Amino acid sequence: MAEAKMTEAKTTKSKKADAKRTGAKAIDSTRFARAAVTLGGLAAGYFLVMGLHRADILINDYYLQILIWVGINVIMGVSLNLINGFTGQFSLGHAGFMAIGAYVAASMTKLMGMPFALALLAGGIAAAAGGLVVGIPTLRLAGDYLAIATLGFGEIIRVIILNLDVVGGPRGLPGIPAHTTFLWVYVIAAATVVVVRNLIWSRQGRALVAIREDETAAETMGVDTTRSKIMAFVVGAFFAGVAGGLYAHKITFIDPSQFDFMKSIEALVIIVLGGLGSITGTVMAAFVVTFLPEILRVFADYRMIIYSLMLILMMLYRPRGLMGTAEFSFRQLGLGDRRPAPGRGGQTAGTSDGPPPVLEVRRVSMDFGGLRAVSDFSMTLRQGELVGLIGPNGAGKTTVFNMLTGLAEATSGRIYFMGEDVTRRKPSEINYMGVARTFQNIRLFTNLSVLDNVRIAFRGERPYSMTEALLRAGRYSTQEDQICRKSMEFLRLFGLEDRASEIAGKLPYGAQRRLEMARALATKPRLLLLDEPAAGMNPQETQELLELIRWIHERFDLTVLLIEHDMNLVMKLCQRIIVLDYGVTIADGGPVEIVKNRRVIEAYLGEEAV
Amino acid sequence: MLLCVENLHVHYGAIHALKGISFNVDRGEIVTLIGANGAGKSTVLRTISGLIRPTDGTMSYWAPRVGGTAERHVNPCSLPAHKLVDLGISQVPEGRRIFPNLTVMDNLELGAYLRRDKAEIKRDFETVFELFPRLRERRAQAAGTLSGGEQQMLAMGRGLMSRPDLLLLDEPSMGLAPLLVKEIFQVIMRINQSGTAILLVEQNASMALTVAHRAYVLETGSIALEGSAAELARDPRVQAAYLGSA
Repeated sequence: MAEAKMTEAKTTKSKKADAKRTGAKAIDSTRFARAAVTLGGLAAGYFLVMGLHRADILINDYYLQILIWVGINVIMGVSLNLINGFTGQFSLGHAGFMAIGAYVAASMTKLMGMPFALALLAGGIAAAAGGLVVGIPTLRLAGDYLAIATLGFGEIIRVIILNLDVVGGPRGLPGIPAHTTFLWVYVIAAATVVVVRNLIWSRQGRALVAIREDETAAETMGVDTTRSKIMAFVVGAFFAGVAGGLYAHKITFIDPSQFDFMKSIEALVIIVLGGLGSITGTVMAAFVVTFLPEILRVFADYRMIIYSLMLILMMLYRPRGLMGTAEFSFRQLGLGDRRPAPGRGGQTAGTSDGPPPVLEVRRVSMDFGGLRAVSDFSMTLRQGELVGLIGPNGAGKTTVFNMLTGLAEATSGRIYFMGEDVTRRKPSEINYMGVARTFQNIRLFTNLSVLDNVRIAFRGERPYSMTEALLRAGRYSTQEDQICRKSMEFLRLFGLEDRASEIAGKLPYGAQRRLEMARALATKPRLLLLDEPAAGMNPQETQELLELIRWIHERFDLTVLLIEHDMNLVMKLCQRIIVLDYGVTIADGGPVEIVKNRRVIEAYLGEEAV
Repeated sequence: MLLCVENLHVHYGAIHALKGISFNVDRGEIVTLIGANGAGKSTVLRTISGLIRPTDGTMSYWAPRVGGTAERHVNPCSLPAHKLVDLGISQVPEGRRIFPNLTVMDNLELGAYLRRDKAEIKRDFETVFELFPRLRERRAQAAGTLSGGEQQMLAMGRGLMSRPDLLLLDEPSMGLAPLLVKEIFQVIMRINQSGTAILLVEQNASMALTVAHRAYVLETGSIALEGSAAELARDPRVQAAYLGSA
């Protein structure tokens, strides 16, 4: 199998360059087509609304006002969805960001006579600063706890404003100039959608989704979860602040009670109804939520009851929101990704310099409560070694892996990777330095596609910046294209290219194991840790796995440490075997030595083993 | 006959996962399903335990514990999964699916959730601890802190706590050390000797064929071979594909 792949790689290498050139052109023209359609569509949308309004067909003054509210709700919803839906950080403090933006912008225009655009921008930036302030302390929290903390933040903002006499305190701030027009709202709402969409479809955005799916796995794939979460809060808060500015200059009178808890809930309703993790759904839901109460005015007193019932019904029939996590896409308009079929052949392996030990573990111990899971464990791995770590269940093998990857902190002892102390490093940093792993229970991003799983992990040189991602400029498109192509290459190595668009969690077990290995390799490690890669595979599949591991070991110039119970695999694959029992190394040597070792036979192999 | 499955079809969206399979499990039997990854073995188990609804086919389960003979025949497809547990079908799922934040003891107690017979439950705890002494040592520990192999033992123990008549085991030897693999198959035989029928899905086909009475080979959603376990173990096709006798 391995040989076949290598010859395949050679023969197609020359074709690759050609395909790349023609491919780049095709992408450029689609990019322009897409940009043109987007801009043209937006302009057409605006002129349609204004035209209808002028001719007084369908849209009268009243409806135009409602459309302005729709636009503000779109901004609120989309920005909250970035935090709640895409990053999975349950926030209830969105009204707080809106309040900051509203008050800052209103003060600037009314009290200082600044231009509207500048005021909106300042409102956004002030709110973003608020996002930073909430982001940092709340990072340790998740789920319900985070929700309560952000709820508290929103209330604090409200109470602060309540006591700020400059802006009127509880009496509010009247007489704000009515700058907000449909054009303003339309342009800013469209910009919000485009920017958030660009963010989501970039490597930074994939990191956010990875956090939502499995934070631990994201960390070990090199995602700096702290930074990513703060980024989501800051960007989300910025747009909420701008929405606040628009709101203030629309309503012309603001007071703290307008930005209470219910305002946050309104935004939450929009994203839950639209679909957590769908921008398209959010926009649709903003329409529904804004228009519905207006349409229902004919029912007078029963209006809110009917409104609530309709929301309940919609949620019953579309429990994951109007759109789930799906999006409107250009593919549906025939402007799909005409990316060339990814070229064959792989990237060159990392070069090894000199022969220092890749990994050196010095007398590490790990206590869980009173239990000593690993005790004085030492190990040295040299460049290119393929070592097995075996031992009875509960011997501490996975704990060793967790310490090596930063998921568990050793109680004592030191771990050096490429000569550097990594004992107290974060998982994402350790991964960045070149350590990747798979998990015993498989931790894929189960709701994402097979391709996305690898793309999240993919590590390129000099990755494009966040600004480039938001504007889709600079190195963005060439790199994205490259990420996609290289990720497909990894999938091909593992026989998964046909399943690239399938949802990872739906793959059969063996394929999931292979995908996890592909994902780990995509981070370009020098040391690969495999935790029971053959679990759940039959002998034939195990044999294929054995060849695959041998092959990637050679091809990517890897050092491999593997935990496995399939002795057949371990014996054939490993040059050296370390045996753990009750947290203590009981043997370390070549396969032949190990099978004859009395202690190993007693503790692990059993009498008539192998 | 305890369980009879006829012409079972299951679809996942557009994917036709099971293409009309028929098989049966008799009382007191160990029947094993072997096959490659993606052949549909786990799907079979999940369909029987009511977690997946088949698109076509019939299943009948002869519930030994229900009083009148007329009510004994039930179609598992027509009942929700939790009712099936009450009728004596218990599944030990692939990937363990233990409750990680609860203690070992809590996990086992949840296995007996539908039972009212306190004294008997207590005895069954003892039985489980005899089968898996390691669990006794760790009974106050949160299940998530157990090692992978210990979690597998816990999942088995939890499955037994409902006192099933039909136990569905999905890859019980996965992630176990060689010594423990042998033990777990001994445990399977002991459970069987106490009268429980077992439908066993295993990658370790040689072990599975050693303990089973009968076996079915599943290939991409259809049954390719069936027969007594001893017969299949000698079959050259099975040897080549699943026993790794290379």
